Amino acid sequence: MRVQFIYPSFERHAQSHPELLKYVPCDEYLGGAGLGIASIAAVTPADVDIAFHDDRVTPFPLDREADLYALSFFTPAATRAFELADALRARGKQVVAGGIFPSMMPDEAAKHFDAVVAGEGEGVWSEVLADAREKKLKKLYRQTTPFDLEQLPPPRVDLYVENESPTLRPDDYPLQLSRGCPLSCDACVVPGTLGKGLRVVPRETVKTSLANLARHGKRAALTEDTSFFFFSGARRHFRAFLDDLRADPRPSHDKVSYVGISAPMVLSVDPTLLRELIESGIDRFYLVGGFDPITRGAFGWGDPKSREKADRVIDRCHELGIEPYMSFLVGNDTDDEGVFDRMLDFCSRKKVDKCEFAVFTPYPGTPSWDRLNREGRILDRTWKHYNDANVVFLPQQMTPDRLQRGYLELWRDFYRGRDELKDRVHHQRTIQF
Amino acid sequence: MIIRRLRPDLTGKIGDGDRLRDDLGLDSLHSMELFSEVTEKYEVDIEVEHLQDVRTVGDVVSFLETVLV
Repeated sequence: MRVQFIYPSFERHAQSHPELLKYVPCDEYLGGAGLGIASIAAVTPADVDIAFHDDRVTPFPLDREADLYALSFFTPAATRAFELADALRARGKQVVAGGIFPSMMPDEAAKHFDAVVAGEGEGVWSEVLADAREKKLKKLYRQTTPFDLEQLPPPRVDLYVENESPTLRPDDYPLQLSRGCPLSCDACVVPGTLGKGLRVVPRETVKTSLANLARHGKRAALTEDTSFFFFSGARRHFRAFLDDLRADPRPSHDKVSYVGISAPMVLSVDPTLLRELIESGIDRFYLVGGFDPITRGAFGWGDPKSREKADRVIDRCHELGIEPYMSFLVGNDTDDEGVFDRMLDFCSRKKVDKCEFAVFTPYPGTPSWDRLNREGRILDRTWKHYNDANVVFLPQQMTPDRLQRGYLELWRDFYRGRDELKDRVHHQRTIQF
Repeated sequence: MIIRRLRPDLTGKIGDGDRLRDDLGLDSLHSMELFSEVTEKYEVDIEVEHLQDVRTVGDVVSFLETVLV
């Protein structure tokens, strides 16, 4: 049996708005595919022949033969995933969907696929394969209990590396430390897709995954705020990971490209943990703004106390010797039209070196999607527009056009006159846009 | 000590009856950090739902006494 995994393409910011290539004097960060396919490939029995195709590199050739085509995708890639699935099914092929979007919108995905895997796929994958062999796929596979991460092998990132090309050669790949989260943050899809209980990936699995990345000359990208919290002993687990990272002999910046963290957490997290983080070789925070009350207050309506805290976030990073790479979000209900000027003023005042801008996007499966749907404020259901670069909803305090224009002007105005960025070393001139 | 670090501007004594949010001004991130540090210190694993009724400094102490038994 042959399974063809496909990671469908999606529009990045600069593809939605080509003028960004003119505004931003940086290299575009092209990240690796999500870990979904690499994890499912790792639990695929050895007697199944597997292949991987990254549709972002070259469009998937529809004449490539397989017994089952498995597409994993998040919301921005749903439009392309549907195109591919429709074309493959028109050729009589069996096509299955998994990942964030099919988990959150199984009925929508089911219109285009023979089968949909909702939630974690590892526990139902053997059943999918058995049914595909018999050509008797069910419409929906849903694992009812969380997958036991003790049984989770390290992801097959090697499949992704083999598929790289001169135009897509990521510096890093995600490293998963845990799954699930008990919180219900407005714009987060994790509890909906991976469950409300936090489960940690066993330390040995993380170590092996890290070693695999090192073998391929890749850094790890860490995007889990939950590692800083107490649920299920996540913070102890994180400290153990930092111990292992410290033992990794590679130079600092070759180990981890960044740690994603909600910006104000830099002010509250235990200083001993921050010190351990730096000692283990982490030197960049991907500071997420716009999802917490402090940055919403600071930029959304200019609350003086919040503004002071936002300022201190950057100061604290500099004190620690960590590069603060800031991601700004515009379009929250609390944002008035002054939000754009406040962000630029903040960047100027705090001498922010590099940053990115995103439009608030209500992704299916998040509390904000449910709320905006209830309020009748979803304007656009073209999934490829759900990429943080387009206004797909009715903002509360400005028109959609004003928000779209403000987002583009932020990119233009922040990077105006910054041509010196082009001359920096690769990792210092690379940003996501 | 953890509360003092989180809110260095607080003056005066912190008592059992002080409410974390209303009296001590701990926002949601501060509270998460308080529980993260306390549970690390005492090596206990807890979940968010265990904390629904924890509102004061005394509640934190009582909660710890319960889980450490």
